[in-house]
Amino acid sequence: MNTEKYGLNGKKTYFTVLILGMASMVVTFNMGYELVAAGITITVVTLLYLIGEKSDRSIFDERDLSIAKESTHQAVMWTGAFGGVAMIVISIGMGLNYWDYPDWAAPYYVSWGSIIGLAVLIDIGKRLRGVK
Amino acid sequence: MQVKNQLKKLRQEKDLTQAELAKKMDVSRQTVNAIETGKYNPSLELALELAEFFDTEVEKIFRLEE
Repeated sequence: MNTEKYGLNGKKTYFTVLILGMASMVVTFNMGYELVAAGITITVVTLLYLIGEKSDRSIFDERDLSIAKESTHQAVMWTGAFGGVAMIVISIGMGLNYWDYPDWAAPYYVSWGSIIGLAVLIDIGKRLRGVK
Repeated sequence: MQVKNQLKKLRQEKDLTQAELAKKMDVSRQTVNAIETGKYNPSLELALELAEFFDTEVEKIFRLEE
């Protein structure tokens, strides 16, 4: 699919479909059309796959992947740092009887712990199979 | 230490635009620009492909500088 002749390169087409699809999904879901939202999601995922497959050039090159890796690394690092500081503040506050354990903290730590757990598993897999 | 490169010079010697070189290397024009301006160091695979394309050695394109 030579999208460049229409003034669109693969990446622009990819992100246009992704953003429009996500916005449509959120709007239809919030309007109560859950099945339509699910249908849009499946359509968007299929379209993104096809755009990647049919594009005459790679959608994402090695620099895109490198930036994505670094961004993910920093996001995990900063959320971890936030979690560490928040845990200390919560513990001090609870110890001094200023407040109780906040409701938002449990899902945050479960989510963050799950992401780190998954990252550790992937890390082990990469070490065993090698990194290219 | 920093990696310096001669990519811009080699590309201009071949009378290629960044977009043309990018297409030949199957990367984006932004990636070629980022390499030329020292904002991105390419993978070993891309460095070798560039060396092959310019019919030279990797060390002649990329070098470490204090």
